[in-house]
Amino acid sequence: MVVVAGFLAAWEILQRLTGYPPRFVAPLPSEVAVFTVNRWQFFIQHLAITLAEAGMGFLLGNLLAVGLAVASVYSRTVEQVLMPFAVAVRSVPLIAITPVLIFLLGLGWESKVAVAVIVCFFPTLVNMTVGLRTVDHRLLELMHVLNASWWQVLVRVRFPSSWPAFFAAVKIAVPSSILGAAVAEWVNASAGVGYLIIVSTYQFNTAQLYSTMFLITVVSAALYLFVLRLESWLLPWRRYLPENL
Amino acid sequence: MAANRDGAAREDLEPAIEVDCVTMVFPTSSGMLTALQDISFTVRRGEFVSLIGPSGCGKSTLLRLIADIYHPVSGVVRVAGLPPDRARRAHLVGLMFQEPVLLPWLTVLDNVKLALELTGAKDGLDPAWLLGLVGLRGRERDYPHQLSGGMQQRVALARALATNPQLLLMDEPFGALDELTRERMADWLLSIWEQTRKTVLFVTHSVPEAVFLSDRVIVLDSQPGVVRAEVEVTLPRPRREGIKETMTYFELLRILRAHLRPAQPQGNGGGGR
Repeated sequence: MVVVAGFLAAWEILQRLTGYPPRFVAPLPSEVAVFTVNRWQFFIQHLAITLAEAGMGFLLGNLLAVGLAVASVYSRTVEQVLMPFAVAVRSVPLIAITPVLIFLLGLGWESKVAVAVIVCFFPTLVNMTVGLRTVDHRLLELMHVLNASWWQVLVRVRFPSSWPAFFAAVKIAVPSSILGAAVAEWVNASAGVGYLIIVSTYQFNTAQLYSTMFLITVVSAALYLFVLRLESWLLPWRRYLPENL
Repeated sequence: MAANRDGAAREDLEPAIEVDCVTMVFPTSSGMLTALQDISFTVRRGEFVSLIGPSGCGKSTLLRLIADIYHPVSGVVRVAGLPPDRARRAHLVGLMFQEPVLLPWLTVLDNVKLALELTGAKDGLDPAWLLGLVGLRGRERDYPHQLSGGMQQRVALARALATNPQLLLMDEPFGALDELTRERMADWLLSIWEQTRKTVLFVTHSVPEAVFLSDRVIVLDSQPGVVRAEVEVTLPRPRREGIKETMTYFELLRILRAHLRPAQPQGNGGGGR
């Protein structure tokens, strides 16, 4: 917080003193602040759209990923058939797959959500598969001796022990879901953060461009910090795990 | 107490464990490894038996065969007269490892309760009472990481006892503890065993520990694992620290070490011959 404020203050002073970069290329931080505050409702509207798309994509992507991870732990077929496919889809660059999804799903919110889903899906899939698998084999033997069903093992042992892995994935997925939705808007949209960036650039509206950039960064960072807090609150035992992830 | 040493009174009961001509083979990268070869022994009900032998002699494998985790390639294992899977389903078997393997996200009490929940055992023991028995009254709400290694291992013991099993399988349960804690844990275990009279099959590397705790010590040979010798421990019960000063105790240590020697020379240089 202090570092960011200091950086912005230094920028303001240097730009005022040296006159570089020129104000029409990069407005003063104070100008950006005034611009943002004056038009906050306008920005909130666009932010809300992007966040809604990102949020939906985040939920759907994680749900799919966790489901598939569970299936791949219990079924060799799922692992052998779906995993290579999942990795192949992952290897297609995001900017290549976005137009394809827009063709498939139309210009509405669905294609934006789909991009966010794809972006969130992989970190969670990879981490959860590892997390669900790396359970102490003696713990599994103990569960066997205690006559636990596969469902009990999943719910009582595998899920809780993969929480740290899940949070590691979520820490990646939260900012990427916003990025995914914004990239899709970039390609084609009539609202949202990605749309604002494109429009501001074409209109040479640098104040609006910087405002958007600043706001989306703040929101991403806030959500990331929220996840960190949530993790240390939900998993107080996590840092005592012996070298486990 | 004396009745425990009276063999005749138990003759009509099923033995707690029968291992009959069991062979166990594992596939490895360099071919098949015979972990156990035609091994046979019996453990009477209420008896405390230690398995001792060099690393890789299949002690842990044997325990897992009895716990229905592995299945023998040939031979028969019976637990209280039942096949291992039936004995496991009837929650006759409790298991404990070298590490406590507790669930870090559950409190000490919930860790013990979990055993009852999973098995649905109706004749289980009260978890809070068990924690008192292992000397952890007042620590029920703590998480495993708040306890020392020895305490965690006592939680694991309470968990193994929770379903009130007839048979307790212990795989080097004190192997990861320091010498002092280890001796205290042995005292604990003895006093708990004297109160509950479970059948115990105890895997260990420590000759003094085996002698101090057991009614009988089975010495295993390695690769492939076979029974080399069985030694009755003639020390009286109840046993207390002082017994470690007696001639019988030293004599038993000497006998067991002699049995262990040929295939396990001092240090790890070369083979036995």
